[in-house]
Amino acid sequence: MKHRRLALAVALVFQVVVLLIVAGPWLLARLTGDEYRLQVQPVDPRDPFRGSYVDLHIRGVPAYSDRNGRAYIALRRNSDGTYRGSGTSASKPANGPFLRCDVDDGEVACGVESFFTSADEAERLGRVLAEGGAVAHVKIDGAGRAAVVDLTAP
Amino acid sequence: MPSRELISSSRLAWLRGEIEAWRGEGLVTPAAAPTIAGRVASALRARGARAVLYVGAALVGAGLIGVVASNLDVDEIGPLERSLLAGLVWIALVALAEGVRDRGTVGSLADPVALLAAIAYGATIFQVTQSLQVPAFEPSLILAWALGSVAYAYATGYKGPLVLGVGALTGWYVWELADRTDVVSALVLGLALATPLATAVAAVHEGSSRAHFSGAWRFTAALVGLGALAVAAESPFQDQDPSVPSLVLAAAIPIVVIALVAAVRGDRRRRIEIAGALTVAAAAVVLVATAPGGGVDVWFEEGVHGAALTHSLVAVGLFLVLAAAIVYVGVIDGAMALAGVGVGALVLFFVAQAVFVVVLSLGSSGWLLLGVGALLVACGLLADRRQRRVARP
Repeated sequence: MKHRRLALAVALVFQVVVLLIVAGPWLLARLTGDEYRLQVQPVDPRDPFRGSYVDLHIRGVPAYSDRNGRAYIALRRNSDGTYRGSGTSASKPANGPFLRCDVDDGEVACGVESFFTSADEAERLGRVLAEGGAVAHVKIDGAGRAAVVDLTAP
Repeated sequence: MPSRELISSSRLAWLRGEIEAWRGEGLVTPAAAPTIAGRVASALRARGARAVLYVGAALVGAGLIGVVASNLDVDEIGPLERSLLAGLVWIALVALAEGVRDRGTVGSLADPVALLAAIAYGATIFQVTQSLQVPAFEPSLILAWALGSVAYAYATGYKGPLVLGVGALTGWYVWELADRTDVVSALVLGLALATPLATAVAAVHEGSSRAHFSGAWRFTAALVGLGALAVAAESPFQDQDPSVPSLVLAAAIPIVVIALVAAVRGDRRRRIEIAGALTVAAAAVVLVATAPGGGVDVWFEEGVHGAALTHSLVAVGLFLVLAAAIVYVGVIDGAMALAGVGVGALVLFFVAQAVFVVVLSLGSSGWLLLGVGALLVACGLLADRRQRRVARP
C-alpha cells in the first residue's frame, strides 16, 4: 500500500512537471517579461481541444522563411507607441526588444499566433480586426519569449 | 473473500441447475449450495456493466474538455480561476479512484474513475495552456497528456488511463510524422518501425505485475502495422525527392535491438509475435524501397500496370494477410478488441475498394466480398481447430 501511494505521488509530480514544461516558455514570459503593444492582423478559426481563437499575424514579422531553426525578430517602435517587426536575424539583436521565433518547415512561429476567447467574442474580434487591425498586448522577457495577455482594437 | 469467477450466462444457468440437482441428491448441503453458486457470476452482465461505465466515463471526460473549449467569458470566471478549477477536478478524481478502489462492490468503479482522472489531466493541460495563450494546434500538448496518463497508469495499475495514454501517444506520433514530412515513405517507415517496438513492449509485460497492460500495446502494434501497409498499398509510386526524417532512421537500430531482446526473453508464442512484427516492418521497408518511379499524374494518365501493378498487388496481399493474422491471434487469445481491429481492417478494405476503388480495380464488389469473407472463414476454422486441440485432455 505504501509502495503504491509513493508510486502515485511520483506519477502526480511527473504530470505536474510535464505540464510546466509545455507551458513553461509562456509562463516565464508572463511572469518576467515587459509588456509591449504589437500591431496584428486576424482570422477566426477553432482548435477542437481549446475552443475558439483569433489567429494573429504580427505586422512586420514574415510568415515564412527559407532557413529553418531559431530566428530573432527585432521590434521597432511606431509613432503611436505600438511596435512592429523589423528585420530577421539568426542571433539576438544587441539593442531593443525582440521576439524569439522558431522556423519549422519554412513557417515562422513566435509563440503569439493565437488569442483564445469565447466563440462570440472571437467572431466579434475577427470582424473588428478585419476592418482596421488590432493591438496585441504581449509580454516579452529578456530571451525574447513572448505571451499574449490581451487583444484590443487600435 | 475470493473473487468471483466470470463465465457465460448459459454456463451460469447450467451450473445453477446442476447445483440444484446435487442438492436434491444430497451431494451438497442446503447451506453450501448458495455459497458455491455465489462463486461465479455472469461474464456478460459484468462485462456489459463495465463497458457502460467506461463509455459513461469517456463521455463525461469529453464533456470536461468541451467545457474547456467553450472558453467561458472572462466576466464569468477568469483564466487563473479556470485553471485552478480544472486542476482541482483532476486531483479530486485521482483521490476518488483511490478511495473506491478497495471498497467492495463499488471497487469496479475505480478503473473508469481513473480513466476520467486521466482525461481530466488532459483538460487541465488544455485549460492552463489556453489561459496562457499558447498557440493553437500545439502537438506537444497531446504528448504531455499521453506521457502523464501513461505514468499514472503504470504507477497505479489502472488500465483505462493506459489505453488513453497509449492512444494519445500513437495519435501524437502519427501527427508528428505527417507534419514533419511531405513524403509518404517516411510515414510508412515511421509506422512500420513502431510495430515491432509496440509488440516488444507488450511481450515484456507478460508475467509481470502489469501483465494486463500487454493488450493495449498489442492493440497499438496491430493498428500501426496495418496503417503502414495500408499507406504503402495506397501509394505505389516512389516520391520524387524521398527524404526520411533522421529521427526515423536513428530509431531503427535500437528498435530492432529492443525487439530482439524481448524475443529472447519471452516464450515461444511471444517470439513468434515479435518475428511477425519485424516481418511487417521489413515488408514495409521493402515496399518503400521497391516502389516504382513516376508519380500520381502518370498513374492517372497511363493507368497502373507492369511493375506498379505487381507492387500494389503485393502490398494489398500483405495487408490482408496481416489483418487475418490479427483476427486469428485475437480469437485464440480471447482478445476480442484485437480481433476487432483485424475484422475492422478487412471491412474498411472492402468499403474502400468497393466504394472508392482506392487501390486499383480489384474486381466487383461481389468478388471482393467473397474474398474477404473466405479469409475470415479460414481464420475462424484455424482458430477453432487450435482451440479444440488445446482443450483435448
